[in-house]
Amino acid sequence: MSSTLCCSFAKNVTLRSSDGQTFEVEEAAAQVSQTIKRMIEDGCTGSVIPVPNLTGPVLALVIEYFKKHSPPSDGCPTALLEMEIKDWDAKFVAVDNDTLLDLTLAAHYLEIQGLLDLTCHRVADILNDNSVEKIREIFHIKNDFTPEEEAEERSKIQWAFE
Amino acid sequence: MSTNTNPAQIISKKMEKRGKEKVITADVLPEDCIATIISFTSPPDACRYSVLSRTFKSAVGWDLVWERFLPPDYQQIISQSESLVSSLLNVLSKKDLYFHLCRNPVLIGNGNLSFGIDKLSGKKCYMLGARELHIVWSNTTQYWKWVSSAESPVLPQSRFSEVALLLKVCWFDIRGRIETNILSPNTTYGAYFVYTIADSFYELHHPVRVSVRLENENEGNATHAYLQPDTPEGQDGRLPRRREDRWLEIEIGEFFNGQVDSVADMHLLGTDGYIWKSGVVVHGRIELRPK
Repeated sequence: MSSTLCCSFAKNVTLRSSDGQTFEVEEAAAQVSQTIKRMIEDGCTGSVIPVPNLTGPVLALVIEYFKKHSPPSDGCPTALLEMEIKDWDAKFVAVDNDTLLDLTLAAHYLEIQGLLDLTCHRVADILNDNSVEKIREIFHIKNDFTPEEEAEERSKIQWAFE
Repeated sequence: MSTNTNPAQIISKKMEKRGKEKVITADVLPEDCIATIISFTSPPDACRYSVLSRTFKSAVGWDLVWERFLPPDYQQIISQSESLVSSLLNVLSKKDLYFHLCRNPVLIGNGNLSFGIDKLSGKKCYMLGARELHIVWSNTTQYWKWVSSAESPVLPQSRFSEVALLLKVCWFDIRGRIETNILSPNTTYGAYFVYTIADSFYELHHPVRVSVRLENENEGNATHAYLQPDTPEGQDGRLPRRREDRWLEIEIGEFFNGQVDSVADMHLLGTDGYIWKSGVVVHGRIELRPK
């Protein structure tokens, strides 16, 4: 067996969060993130890969997602496995709203399309269940319209409120 | 790790303990992220969210939002319109295109079919122009007359170039067919006969029989409808309604468009007693829109 093959088997990489925590994860799993994949391809694997936009707890969560979504070593995922993953995904994003936004940002920064769609869909479901005022409260959104501007915006889309 | 444990919940509890030293707000999400979130909602909801904040308002305008609300094959459909029209539509932002198609259906094919979308759902609406219908006796000049809609000052404005004026007929029989695979799937559609009454008319107070049937299904439900707008309430049958575009419409029927391809056959029949009638102007039958 050639040495290249030997080394590519279950190779690990180390990721470091903004607050200095380090996590070891299989290279194949970490490549679920397009950002990390590019870093590995650019030869950053020798040392620790910095992930400065994510705190330790968020990075730990993202790594759980990597592990669940890393490509199966034995070929195509079965329908049963896909169902199990779907189930797992739904539980994964059933978190408090702040964590949900943290995960959304992480998915965006690390370019994890599956996780981004998952968190965005979850946020959308929460939006759909609530009034404009309640949404601002839940997601700490600052209303930066003047009262006149907001009234004008509302009048333009009156049909959507009916 | 067992699949029953939820790592996110465990760690989010830890994060609660770290306190609120850093509060992430939805406003700090990159705008394309907010646009992705909005794309998972619906057209009226997206518009509602534009009043949340300036960032949200801007995100609602992103093409990726409205690209998801428009019918999946909208590009292919509008490419069937006149080349000038389709090139004008192609320069619009997707949001502007969405609302343009809600207000201004485009003529496609040979100009006898129009395509638009329903504002609330983004689902497809079609109207078959009079020339696209099978009107019994319409090629016989003593019974029906084809009128250029642009030249007629008394008729409401029509999107089609020609409308059919009923001079006199005792066999009033109009039929329209549409292949259901061009409609939005999993949608209940209503089919409406769009028409107006000419200045002089007679014997239009008799009811006509209206029905919609899918070809792969059994006989659809037929019922009676009254074309004359001043028909008193309390009749056993459907009554017409005045549309915003000043034409009248009457519901022919409805059907659920599932995922099986079929042909919807929409039929209006007024032949009882062979009474001669006159004065119906057929604009476009049939308009199909989601209910």
